[in-house]
Amino acid sequence: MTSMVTELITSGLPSTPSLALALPVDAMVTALLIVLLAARLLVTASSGLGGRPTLQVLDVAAIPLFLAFAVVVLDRVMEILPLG
Amino acid sequence: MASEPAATPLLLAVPPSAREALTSAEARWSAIPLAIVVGAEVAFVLGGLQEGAAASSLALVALLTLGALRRGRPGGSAAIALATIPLLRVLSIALPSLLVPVWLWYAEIGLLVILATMLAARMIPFDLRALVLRPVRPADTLLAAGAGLPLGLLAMVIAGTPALGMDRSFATLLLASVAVIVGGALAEELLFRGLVQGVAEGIVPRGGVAVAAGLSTLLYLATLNLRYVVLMAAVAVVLGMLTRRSGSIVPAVACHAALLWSQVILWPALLG
Repeated sequence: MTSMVTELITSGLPSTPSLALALPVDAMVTALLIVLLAARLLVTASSGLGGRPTLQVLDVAAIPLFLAFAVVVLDRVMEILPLG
Repeated sequence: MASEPAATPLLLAVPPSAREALTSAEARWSAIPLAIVVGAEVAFVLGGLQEGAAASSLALVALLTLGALRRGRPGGSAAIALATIPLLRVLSIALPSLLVPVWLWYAEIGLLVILATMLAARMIPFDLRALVLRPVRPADTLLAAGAGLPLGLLAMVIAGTPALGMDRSFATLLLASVAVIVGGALAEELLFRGLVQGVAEGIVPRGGVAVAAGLSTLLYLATLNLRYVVLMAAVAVVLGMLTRRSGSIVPAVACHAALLWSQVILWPALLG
């Protein structure tokens, strides 16, 4: 048990595919990613090359969250497939 | 002899006369991102999983906004560096799944945390690579790793760490060990003893170890185990001092890796 994965997290994991689909945490990650990507687009549109430093700041979270989103989607697909 | 702030990377280009004023302004502005991170973690511990995820998401957006608005000015570096902490929390809540083995969680979360740490480090005037690549005496690293093994036993007993639930094949053991060492120990040390402590020492030259140790301990609050939190706070302070003394995070990584690997793999397999 490290600081990353704690008792609070392991005790809150969904136990069935339907509970997993209803988990709001994944929706929060998706919403967060959409907010960051929208902010990136707005900065690019408004500042052009001048907004590059701001884009780099946003990328600190946007790139890891995008990869996390891919992992979450893969997990959910793997959970749903057995129901098919 | 008057004590002058150490010439840390953030302060190298600043004349000594202006150093104190700049450090003071940095410290004042950096209190804001620090308070945001502490607030999000307290919300996680008191509120639970969903409230914690929401608080960490809001904290992440707030810190990125602050970092973008104040980049190159007091508080900007701290906001960018500290944004990695609520990101770590969001990832650690979202990525664990019952479909994948527990040891793989460390790799999934840790690799993304390492990526975020490197992305944050390139945004601030702080040389993270020097902390990783600076040569250290092998004896120091071996000593630190050796100290980690009994600490791992102590941590396992205090935290009641269960076995990772993997099969006993050599390949799985090897993969799990790499995942725990890289995704757990290396990721946390790069973030806390590398990025956070480095930036904090540029702001409060004599308090960097305490700030980094305090923040890493804050994350352990969610284990809801006071004795474990105290143990990890003591370990964090020692690792911080080790990093400061050697100028490298390698001994701290070696100690943390031995501690974590023995805590979740070695001791549960031998004694569990």
